[in-house]
Amino acid sequence: MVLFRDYTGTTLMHRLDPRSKAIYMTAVLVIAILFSDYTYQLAITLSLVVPLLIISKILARPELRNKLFLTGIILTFALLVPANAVFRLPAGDYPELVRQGVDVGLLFWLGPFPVTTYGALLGVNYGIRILNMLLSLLIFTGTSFPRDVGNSLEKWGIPTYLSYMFAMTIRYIPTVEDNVFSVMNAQKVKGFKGYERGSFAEKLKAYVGMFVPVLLLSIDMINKMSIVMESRCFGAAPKRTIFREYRFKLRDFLFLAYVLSVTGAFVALWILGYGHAYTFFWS
Amino acid sequence: MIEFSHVFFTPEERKEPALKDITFSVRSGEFVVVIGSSGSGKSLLCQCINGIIPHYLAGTLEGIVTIAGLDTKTHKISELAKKVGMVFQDPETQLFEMRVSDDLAMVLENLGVPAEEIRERIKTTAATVEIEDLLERNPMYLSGGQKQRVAIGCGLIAGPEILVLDEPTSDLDPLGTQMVYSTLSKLNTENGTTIIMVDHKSSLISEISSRVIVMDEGTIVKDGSPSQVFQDVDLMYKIGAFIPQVTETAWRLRKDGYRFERFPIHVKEAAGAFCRLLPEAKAPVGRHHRAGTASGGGLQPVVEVRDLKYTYPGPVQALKGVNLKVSRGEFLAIIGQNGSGKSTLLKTLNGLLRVEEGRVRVQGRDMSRIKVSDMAGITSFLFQNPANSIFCETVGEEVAYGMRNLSVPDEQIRSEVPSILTEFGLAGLEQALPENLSRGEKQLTAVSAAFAMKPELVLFDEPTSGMDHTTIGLIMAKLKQLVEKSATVIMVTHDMEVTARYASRVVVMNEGIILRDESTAELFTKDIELLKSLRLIPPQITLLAQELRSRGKGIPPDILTVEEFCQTFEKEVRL
Repeated sequence: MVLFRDYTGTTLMHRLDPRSKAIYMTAVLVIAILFSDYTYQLAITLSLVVPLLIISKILARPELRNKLFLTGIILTFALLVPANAVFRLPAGDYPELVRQGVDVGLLFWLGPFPVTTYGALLGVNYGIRILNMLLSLLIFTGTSFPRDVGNSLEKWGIPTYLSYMFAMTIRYIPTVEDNVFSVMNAQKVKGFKGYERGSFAEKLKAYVGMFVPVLLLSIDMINKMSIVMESRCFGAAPKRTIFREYRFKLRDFLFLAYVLSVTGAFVALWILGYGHAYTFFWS
Repeated sequence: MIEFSHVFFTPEERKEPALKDITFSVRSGEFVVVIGSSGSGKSLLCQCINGIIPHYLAGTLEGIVTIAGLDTKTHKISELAKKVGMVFQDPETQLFEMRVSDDLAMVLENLGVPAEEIRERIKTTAATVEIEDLLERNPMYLSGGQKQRVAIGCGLIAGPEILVLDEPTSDLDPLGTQMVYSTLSKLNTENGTTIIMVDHKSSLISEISSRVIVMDEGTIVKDGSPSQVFQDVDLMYKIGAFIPQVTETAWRLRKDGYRFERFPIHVKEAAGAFCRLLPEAKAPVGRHHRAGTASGGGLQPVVEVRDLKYTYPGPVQALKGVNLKVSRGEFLAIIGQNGSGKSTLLKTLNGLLRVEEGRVRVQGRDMSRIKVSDMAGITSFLFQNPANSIFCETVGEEVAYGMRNLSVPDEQIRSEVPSILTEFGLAGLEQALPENLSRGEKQLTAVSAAFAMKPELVLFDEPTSGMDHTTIGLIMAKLKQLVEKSATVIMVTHDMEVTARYASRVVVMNEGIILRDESTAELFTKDIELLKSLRLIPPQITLLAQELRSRGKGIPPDILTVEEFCQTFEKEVRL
């Protein structure tokens, strides 16, 4: 896997200031949470997510073309849609809604549960919402070096230790991942069959058992790193300088103008009462 | 420049001092190499220089350490950082960033240097250590030698007059080591940087350093120029340091009564000394006779590889059609540059990499279908870095782990584990935590755990990397014993001395194909030019034999070990 290993690129998204992208991601998170109607959620996807996915070429990256990523998305929908269809309306509330004349699109009864189109579509909304959040996060983090994110936020007043913690955590995810594989291989080589054979429970137990050696490796690594950090004078000056320049350029202003006007439009619609779950289109 | 005066250091968790009465001084512009067995206090000495001791590592420091006039007790690490740059062994724990330039900038950013000046210094430092084209690359994807150059750049950027390096080449192949040494040599001669380096690659040390300090059990036991220090061969043996082969040869022959005023260190020097003692060749010089050179044909095959291709995602084709047959009882070395496909080939022999194209059979099993864990008890695989081989909480547990997976009865495990540990010089360490062991002890733990599973085939990736001389000797002797009991050993290595001494057959790989597959003696006589083109340097003793032969002496050109040389030498002299 190569996730969190590569941030280089020359697309517009890569060249934007990390703060512009942070604002973008926050905007998408907020409006994705606001809307409960899947059509509006889909509109967010089409206006704010899909174009940037295309511009950033992020989906062309090999780690997102693997089965796990796709299975994850399909599973999310496969779980959310039927679960909401079945359990969204408590059986007790159903007669009350019917009395109020609300059409929830009853499909059939599953035992005591009314299975409704309304619930299913809410499930669809949740699925798209998760996708909107995840993809905007991916567009932000996948096109910005963690160091740049940390540095530029530091310019906005985030404390140095936080920006370091963020950048280093992401930097060391691949290392920890390598440690995991190295421990697994060492165990397999010595005849441990837990990862390769056995039931789900046995495999789970094997993975849990790996935790301690990986933790020990990580602690050893942190001990060594802290000596190096110390030799590099971490925290020596009251205010750290940042050698890279982070400045909003014309492209940042144009990008933000687009993002914020679209976001503003969505917020206005929501305030006007559109896109809430209960303004369901056939109610 | 550096002054140590009666320095004692006792780490917090220990009662006995780990550094005892250290007194020495280093003048500006010196290139000092510190050698010594593991646990002799070399790393602590380094940490005293840049103030990690006493400011960061807990313990008691007595005596006085002054660096460029600054007392390390009263000056902070950040003040000392402008005088001393540090480089450590492991690139993974000293390159924190995802762009080389960010790593270089770190120390200056932390010191609050203005951005403009940092950018300027990044440029000049990158030029000094020759990494200008790497500045925006991710250190993760650089070669070992490049990574250490970046680390040296990080140590240098604050403009120190002193550079301290703690085993910077332990994890590097010969090419990477040369890269680092040439950078250091340039810094020392052109920029006048004072260099203190802990290392143990002796034949190279003697070429670049001006002074060698030998440490043992926390004290300095020898201090002088390389040629002076290496004269004390007995001491070198005691601390497990590498001794240049020509030095060792002269030392042995002196014991037999031959006169050497001083022991040579380099081949040229040695050739002169031996020339004087040897008569001219009286008859045409033939081959050296040695018993049993295995060829790989005829005997029962253990490994059969046919048309093996392997491609990593990317795609990078690591193996481009490899054919290989290895028979029972062979000791095979696979050599080649980094990226030649050696380790990839080794991993397919154990199922760590799945065979996708071509065929691999190990002990008759088709490796395209087998699971790694099913190969336990048949093959043992040892990783280059021993930390990747061991994972249990105690050394004893580590050895027992594999046996338990093979369903060895508990009774037997309890009785066998201590004896195996004793065999590998780890007696009394059964309850020790692996993370507290030295690298050598970790490797011995890994090897003893592999041996406990009684493998028929041992696959070893770089058995000697980062090990001291004594550990290498012990590990290789054990492997040889195993081969004598008709097991098979396949090792991937960069170490030509070990290859010459132990392997009966050598496979040379380059860019995913096998270039040569022949007996060790043949390789080192016929294919010297090929080896040089791959930057693999034949053992010093073989080069000496060939040099003597070219000067008309009766030494066969295919001498592989010091012992062989001594025998032939004495025979020639007696004639």
